[in-house]
Amino acid sequence: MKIVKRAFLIFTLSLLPLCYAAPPTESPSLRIEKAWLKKPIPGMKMTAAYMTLINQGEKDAILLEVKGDDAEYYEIHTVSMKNGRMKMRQLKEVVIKANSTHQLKPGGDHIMVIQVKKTLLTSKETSLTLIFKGGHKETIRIPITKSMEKK
Amino acid sequence: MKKKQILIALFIFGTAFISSKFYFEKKVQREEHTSNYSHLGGDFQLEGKSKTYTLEDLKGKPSILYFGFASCPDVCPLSLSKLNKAIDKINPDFHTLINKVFISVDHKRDTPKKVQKYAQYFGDSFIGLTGSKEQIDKMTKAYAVYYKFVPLEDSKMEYTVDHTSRFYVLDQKGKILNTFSDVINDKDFSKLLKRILSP
Repeated sequence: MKIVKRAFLIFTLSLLPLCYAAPPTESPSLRIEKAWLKKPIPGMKMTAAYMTLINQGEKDAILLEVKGDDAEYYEIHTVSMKNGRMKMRQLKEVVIKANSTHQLKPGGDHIMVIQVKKTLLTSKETSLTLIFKGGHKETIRIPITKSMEKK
Repeated sequence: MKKKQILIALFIFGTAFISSKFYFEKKVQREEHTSNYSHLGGDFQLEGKSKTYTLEDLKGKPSILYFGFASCPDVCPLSLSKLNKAIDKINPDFHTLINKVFISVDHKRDTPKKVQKYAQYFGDSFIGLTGSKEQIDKMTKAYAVYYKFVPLEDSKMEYTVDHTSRFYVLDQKGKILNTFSDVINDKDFSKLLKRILSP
């Protein structure tokens, strides 16, 4: 009986640290869908990743940074067409408004994947970590897709 | 009386025939002159993987030219992919009947070998060309193609290249027939291709 009491006490005490654990980072209620990375063209050092960011929260979510293991650098860029001219520029952030959806898509905002590693040519999937203002992180596994049709 | 009726009928028929012939000839002329590119285009000299290309090398087949750069991960591959899709939709046999040419204006970063590799990713029939600054400047001026190197200060890319995103359709003699920003939805593109490639 004494042993049972002691075991119960140890178990209860072992739960105590949980009461002092830091509260979880405030999640901006984000959902990420339809994410994919375009398989790099052989010999090219760059490619791009796309996805749909769905913010179901009451506050704007601000994407600041992207990280991954299969390229040296990940940046947020945007492409625009004006008077038949293509312009690509780097963005400091992407704002996903409260209760709305923002698409990272070909011909628009996208994640530039720079100095790609060979693993992107051979793997079927890669991981990306999206870092939002406030410190919230979302790590996702996304497919590497060969989207271009060869003729 | 009967003879008179026949003559009137012949007169009406003849007038209608001549008018329609005149109308259709004018229509074709109008279509061909809608986009007058006679002041653009002409000879050029660019470097391919294994030889120097001039306009002469493209003659004998209609050509479609697209200007971009090989480090462009988004708009250029999307455009070349759309060109493939558009031709598929019109007639898949046309792929081998056209010179599909990708010209990189990024003379700082791209080499003929690299551009050829990039272009052929979209199909073995693609030709990839680039050149020195002088060669690129001369051609882009002649074909009214805009390009500009833009520094990206905080980016590891260092710079990007703003450029015209447009398809140039040349006939088998190397003359520009028309240019298109959208080959998928612009019906004039399919009409033009059918006209120049259908027997």
